Amino acid sequence: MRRTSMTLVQKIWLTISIVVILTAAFSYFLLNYFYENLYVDQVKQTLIKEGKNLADDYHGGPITEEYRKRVEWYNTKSTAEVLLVSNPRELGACLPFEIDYDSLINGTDRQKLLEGKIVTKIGYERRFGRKIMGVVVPLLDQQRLEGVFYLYIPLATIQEATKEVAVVWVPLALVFVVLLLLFGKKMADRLAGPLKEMERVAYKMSQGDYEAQIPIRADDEAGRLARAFNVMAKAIYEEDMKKREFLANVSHELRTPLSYVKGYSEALLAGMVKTKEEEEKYVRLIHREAGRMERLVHDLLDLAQLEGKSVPLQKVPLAFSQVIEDTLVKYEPFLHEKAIRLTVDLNPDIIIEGDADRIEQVIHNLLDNAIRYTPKGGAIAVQLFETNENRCCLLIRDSGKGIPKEKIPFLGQRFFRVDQARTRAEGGTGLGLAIVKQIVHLHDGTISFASEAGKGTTVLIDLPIWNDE
Amino acid sequence: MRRLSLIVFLFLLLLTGCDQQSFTPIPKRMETLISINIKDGSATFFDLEREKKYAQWNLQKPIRGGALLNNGQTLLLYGNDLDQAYEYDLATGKLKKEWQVGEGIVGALVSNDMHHIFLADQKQKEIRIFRTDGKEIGAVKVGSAPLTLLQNSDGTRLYVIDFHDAKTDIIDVPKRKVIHMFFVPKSSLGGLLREQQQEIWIGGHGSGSAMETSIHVYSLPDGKLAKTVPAPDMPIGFTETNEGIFALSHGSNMVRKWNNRGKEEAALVVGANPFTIVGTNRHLYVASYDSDEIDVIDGRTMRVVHRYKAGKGPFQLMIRGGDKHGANYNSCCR
Repeated sequence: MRRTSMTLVQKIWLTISIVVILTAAFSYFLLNYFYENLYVDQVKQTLIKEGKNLADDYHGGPITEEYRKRVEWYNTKSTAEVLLVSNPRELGACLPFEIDYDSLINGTDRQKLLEGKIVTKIGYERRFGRKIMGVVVPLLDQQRLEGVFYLYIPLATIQEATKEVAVVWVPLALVFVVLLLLFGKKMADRLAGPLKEMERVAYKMSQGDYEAQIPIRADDEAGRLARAFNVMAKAIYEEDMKKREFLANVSHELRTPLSYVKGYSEALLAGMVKTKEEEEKYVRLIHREAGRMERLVHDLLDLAQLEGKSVPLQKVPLAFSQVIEDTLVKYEPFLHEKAIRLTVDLNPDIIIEGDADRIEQVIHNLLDNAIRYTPKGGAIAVQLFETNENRCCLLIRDSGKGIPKEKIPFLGQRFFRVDQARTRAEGGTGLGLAIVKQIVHLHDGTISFASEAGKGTTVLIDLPIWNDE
Repeated sequence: MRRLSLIVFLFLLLLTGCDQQSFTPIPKRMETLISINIKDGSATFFDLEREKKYAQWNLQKPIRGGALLNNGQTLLLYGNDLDQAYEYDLATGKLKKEWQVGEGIVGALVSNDMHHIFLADQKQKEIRIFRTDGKEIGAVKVGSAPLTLLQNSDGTRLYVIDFHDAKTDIIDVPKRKVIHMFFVPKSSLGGLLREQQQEIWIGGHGSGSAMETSIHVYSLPDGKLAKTVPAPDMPIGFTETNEGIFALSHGSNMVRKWNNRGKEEAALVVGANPFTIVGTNRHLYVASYDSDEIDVIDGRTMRVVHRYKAGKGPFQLMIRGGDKHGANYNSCCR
């Protein structure tokens, strides 16, 4: 058997409806209960007061005819029925003798009256043939029960009063319930609205439309969820954009060397080369472009590995200055070639935890850049120092032409070049700094750049010092 | 376990203690007024010489009345809802015997010859005749509510006034049968047999909401209504002494006095809803059901001379010893 599933809106509305109807019903019974009780109690108190006032005029002795007449007159004016009973038979005076007569006052009540207490009666009285609310006030001459005042009101009068309340209350309550139910429906729609919207937008996104946004109506849970959803949609959209841009960059970078290779090889095949020197020159050019493509592919692979964390770092404690010095040695011929003056100031005590090959790659890439952009006869400084007891800093400063300030934030982005034309000539892939940044990041470090056009560039790498504790 | 058995033992002791209950002994020669109180099921004893309350027996049983046997030395207590009647020895205050009489006993009268006791049984609708040792020797069918029993001086004629059936049966005791019957008003209660005058005074509550305001006097030979004596409201208690005839009307709390010739001489408002009156040649005793008091009235001057406090709901009075008169010594009207 298949269960019919309810939507969230239906569930919320059903809950609200049940609560509203239950509340209304409960309050109706409560109102009735209290009204009847309070009203009956008030009637009782009034009757007792009335009875006591009447009894105050009795000063002992037998009930006189004049007194009785006054009470009769009062009875015609009073809303309650007022009876002055002085017949001992009605007062239950003969009760121990099993008389076959139903007296107005029974034995228990008579005993209470003899003690001067007031007796109250609620319910059916056979004598009056109906339900009544009555009080009996004794008229005592010392210990003689000379008579009683029996004051009563038919309970129907009281129930009528309750009915009057119901006449006003029931329609009002119905209107109230209907209003609340409508309001509940609206409320449920409002609660579930953002969810429906999200469902719609998610389907749109699966179709590739990342620009759809959920309108935010309130700052509640649903609103915040919608906002988070929007942020997520935006992030996906941006990621998608980056991917497209990356692909465009890669294809662009590959196209240039490819077109060289293709062009020169076509020239060679077409037999356009006349001399042996020319032929050698073309082949060299093809080789150079193939080398560039190789580097580009290598760097891309490297970056992909670092970003994808597919090849974990082999972290070991390293003497940082040693790694730097070993790398610098490899650059001596290039420095010598460009007559660059190198100043090195390394703190030999600093030990970091890192992957030696990767750290070397960092220094390698940074020195590559420094040497590449430093003119002949320039200077490069390499420093390693502690910034505090937990951190150290590697500084590489060149005396190149520097980087315009507005371009500094873009350093480290893939395929970003400060000078597009020149750099290609210099032979960089545009991925070196991106790789450096990623490696530093994986070593819990930060990289920052300081530069001024014409005055050289400073790269600062901040890394944690290894602590064996 | 030992503790439990101790508790059981104490409990049993308590139970047997209750069973062997004894009350304050009443001295043999003391002139005593006995009040049977039905609200709290007690009997109060008053010393009439010293004019004070002597003892109260809290029997805590639904007793309704009593009768004095054995020359006033034992007190038989009975009740409509009791299965047995209890015979107490006054001098020891101990239960002497239980009479297995069954429920429905509403009245008792010891015959003037002291040989019999008549028990009015409402359930079996008969007058049951017992020997004073408790052996039942006969029964006579009567009406449905034989509340009032009167007898002649030698105890051979019994007059049974019925509360519901509006009649009076006259029983010949030796023959064990009703020999005559005459009609009386409904709810008739209380009476006075005046053998010499050959008349019987009968009181009552009245029927429905109407109160009885008169005493009906019937002539004895033929049971005809001889006259009515006004005595509002609801005359139900009677006694006759040397001073005259006294009737108690509980509706108006009034004791009326007639001289021997039947002339009303005095009336006195007394008590609160009094049900019973007994008299000696000097005093009248009136018990008020609502105020639990017994007023002592001088029969000659018709003034209240003393007041006793009884148990709750005094319903019947009896006098033992001294000179006594009136219906209530041997009789009862309930």
